[in-house]
Amino acid sequence: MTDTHAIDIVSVTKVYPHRTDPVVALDNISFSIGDNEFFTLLGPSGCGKTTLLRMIGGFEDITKGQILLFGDDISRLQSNQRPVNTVFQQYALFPHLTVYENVAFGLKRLGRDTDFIKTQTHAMLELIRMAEFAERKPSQLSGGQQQRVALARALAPQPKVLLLDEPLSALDLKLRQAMREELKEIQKHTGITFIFVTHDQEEALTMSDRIAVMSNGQVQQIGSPKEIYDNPTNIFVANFIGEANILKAKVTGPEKSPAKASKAKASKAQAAAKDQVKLCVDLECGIKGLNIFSQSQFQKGKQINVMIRPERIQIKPLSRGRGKVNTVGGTVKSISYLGTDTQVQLLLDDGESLLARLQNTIDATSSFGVGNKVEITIPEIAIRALSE
Amino acid sequence: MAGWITKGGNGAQTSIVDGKQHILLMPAWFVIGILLVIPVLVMLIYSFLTQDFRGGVIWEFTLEAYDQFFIDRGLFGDEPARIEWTYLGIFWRSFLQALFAMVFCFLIGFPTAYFIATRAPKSRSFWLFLITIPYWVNLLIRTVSMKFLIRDTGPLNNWLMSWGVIDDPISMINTNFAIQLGLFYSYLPFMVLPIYASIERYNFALSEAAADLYSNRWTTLFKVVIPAVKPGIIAGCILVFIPSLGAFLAPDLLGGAKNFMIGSLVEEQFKGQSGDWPFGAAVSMILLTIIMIILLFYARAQSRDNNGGH
Amino acid sequence: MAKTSQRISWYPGFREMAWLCLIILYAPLIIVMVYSFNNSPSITVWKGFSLVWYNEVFFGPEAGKFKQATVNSLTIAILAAVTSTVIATLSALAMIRGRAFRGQAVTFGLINLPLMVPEIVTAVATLIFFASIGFERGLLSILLAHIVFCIPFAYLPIAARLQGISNVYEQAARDLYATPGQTFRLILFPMMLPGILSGFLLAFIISLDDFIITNFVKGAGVETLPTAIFGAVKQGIKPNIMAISTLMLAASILLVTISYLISRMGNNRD
Repeated sequence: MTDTHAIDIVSVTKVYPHRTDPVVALDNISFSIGDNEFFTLLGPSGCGKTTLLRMIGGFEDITKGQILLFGDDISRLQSNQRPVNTVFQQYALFPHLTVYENVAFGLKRLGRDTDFIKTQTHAMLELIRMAEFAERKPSQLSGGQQQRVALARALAPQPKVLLLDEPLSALDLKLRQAMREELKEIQKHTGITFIFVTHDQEEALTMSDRIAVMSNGQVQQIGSPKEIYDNPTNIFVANFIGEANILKAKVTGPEKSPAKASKAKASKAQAAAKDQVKLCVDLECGIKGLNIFSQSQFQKGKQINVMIRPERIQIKPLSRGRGKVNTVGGTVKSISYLGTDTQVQLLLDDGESLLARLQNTIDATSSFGVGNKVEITIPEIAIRALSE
Repeated sequence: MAGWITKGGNGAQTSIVDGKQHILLMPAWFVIGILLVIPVLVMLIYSFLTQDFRGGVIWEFTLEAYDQFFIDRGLFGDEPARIEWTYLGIFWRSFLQALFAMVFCFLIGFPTAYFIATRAPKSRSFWLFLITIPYWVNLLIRTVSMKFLIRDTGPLNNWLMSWGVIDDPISMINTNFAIQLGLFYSYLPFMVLPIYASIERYNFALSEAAADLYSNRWTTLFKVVIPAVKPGIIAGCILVFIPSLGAFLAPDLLGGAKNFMIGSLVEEQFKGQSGDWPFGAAVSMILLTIIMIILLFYARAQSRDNNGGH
Repeated sequence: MAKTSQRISWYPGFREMAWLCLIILYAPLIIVMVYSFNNSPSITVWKGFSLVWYNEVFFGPEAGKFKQATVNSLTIAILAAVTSTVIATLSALAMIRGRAFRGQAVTFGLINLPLMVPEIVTAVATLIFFASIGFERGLLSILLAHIVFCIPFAYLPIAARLQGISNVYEQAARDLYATPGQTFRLILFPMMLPGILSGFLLAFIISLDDFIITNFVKGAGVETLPTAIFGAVKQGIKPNIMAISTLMLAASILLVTISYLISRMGNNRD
């Protein structure tokens, strides 16, 4: 954790009152966002991420709890009293003002002196490469240009924290990808804490220092993109970020002494998964005695869910020989070619379904077809135990 | 940390007018309250006061005005009470005139609205503009123009005679037809605009679906289009009917003395020394009551429609 | 000779009905316009083009009366339109922005009440009210009555405009350190301006137009243009009335066209 916190969310609850059924938008949430961080709130629509962002900006009342900005309680301040600026989803550029006037708006309200307003506004327009558009009206700009002006307008007053409410969702794919780079660059360049709201996992994974995955008004997991992808804590996170196979397993005890061959690999994986314990489990599909990572300790005999990412499963045509490690038999149900990789639907011998993705590398050969019997290897270091 | 709950005004503001709404509405409340709501109440009181023959009232409670409206006791007030038909007759005639005006407005207004709504967007807004302009022209001037046009010696009769269509001028002025024409002419835009608004929102794929299912044009019109745009038709009918019922200019200028309508009856009570203020107030109250009942039914039907839509 | 069409939405005769509608609406107005240029003291026979009746309007024996009536009408219309536009703007802000409040539906009904009460009833009620409190009838009583019925006409376009402006602009302004007052002055007001202008123009035309209520609440000897014209028409339609009507017609059409262009400008800008 970094030493200073830009934002502390302290037991924040938001209830939208209603005569018959009040809606709990945020349920007693607490976490901190570090200074200089690119922090993303990620979740499906209705998960409370936008509500939380709007509370930080001062556009929504807080039902219960506190929001601290560098240690100061800002919960009771009006939005014009908070040194926090927002890039709105639909940009909200003032249609009757020019690009220059839009960008200078906040500085003027803060009563900065004229020379400073001039230099700062021009610096911002340079930053977003829009200097030659200063006298245009917003309606004369393309979507991508409006987006950049909205960013410059929010950055111009040098806020302590910048809030971005799905700012890329109105852009087309190509522009969106370019803007990701640009946003990340600008965040590094300015050193301002960015809090970014999105429902697009790819956006979150590529841009963020840390991600908070939210659903149903609660934070499901906070971590770096890699942590979230590799070690999801529960089924929701596992399914929401990327694709996941969820299998049932039974805990047979703590870690067995690892086989010599896998020792080196295991220690490598260990580095990524600190604060984790190892468990020994039997998968219900028939693979026994696996040493897997888990974030929580489970009692022996407990039924748990484990997750494995599709791209980490290996498939080979059925071959003779017995006693293969971590291998189970199955049938190929369907094969879909997806360009960069091939998606294979498998039916395990015990009736479970499994999804696998094979990279279409240059030497990839499809050595099996639909209906073929295959052997499926599930490497134990790729398996994660999920809580709940 | 102990949690605390923010009260309404303490937290972030969601709008720049929160908490100031009552101050902002104060002028509207005062102006409309003092200059319309209270006057209507005073008018209600006046309808129960005694007539002063110099024009005005004496502050004595009486039902005389309503008695005069509904009950006939003969010339000297000593005959047995019978229903007074004079004023009910005027109301009935006004009702019929307004009804005819409404039907004419619908018969011409609906095809017009439909035609406009099926134009290309550009010419659509131009047509709408053309239809609305007459509404903004002074009603008095429009009525006078109509009177000028249809007089016995007016241009219409002159042309018809010079073309040999008729030999003698048709007497159109001072007839029921003239009043209906005047009302129709006054309020036609009120019929076209709301119907246009609903037809514009109508999804023409429904007409195509009906045609696909073997419905001919006219069946489609009556079974699909008209039911779908019914709210607009009802709104248009109300917007034409209500002002027609209380109209003054068209009956007065085009109808002449014998085709009295409610508007003229009321106006006469406040003209000069011969007026009867309590009676005029009572007639106004009765007219207002009828219109409020119509609007109430309309509002209820509308809210039922809205609830049914969900 | 209507040609049939394959289009499902097409109906025979509807186009003709629309044209008939236009003819009915415009024929009387056009005829009055044309005859106002008639070079004849009789209003029946066309005797060639002339401006004699316009000369009569501006310099004839009745010119003073109509001039005074025009001044009265314009004064009342401007004051009534300004006042009702301010009231309507404040009301629209309170009704459309901000939280729902107790009595909102009643307030909405109250603002639109002048549209629901028939003009003749409003006229009677206002006359009786002024008489009962001993308020002297004259220009001021006309002005007060006009303000009331102009409010809903000013309110409609202003409220429609405000509803079309997303409240995200106010949030953006507040986010950029504007106070509520600055947010209104610098952001919301300029964005509402087309609606406010067309509300003002409608209120202005409505006030200029009114005959019935004015006729009831005006004092003896005080005339507005419509009451003066009505008085003259009662003596019979003379050509100078047609000239005045044509002038008023031109003024109305000019104002409506301006209002139409303003609202189109406002819509294009977003």
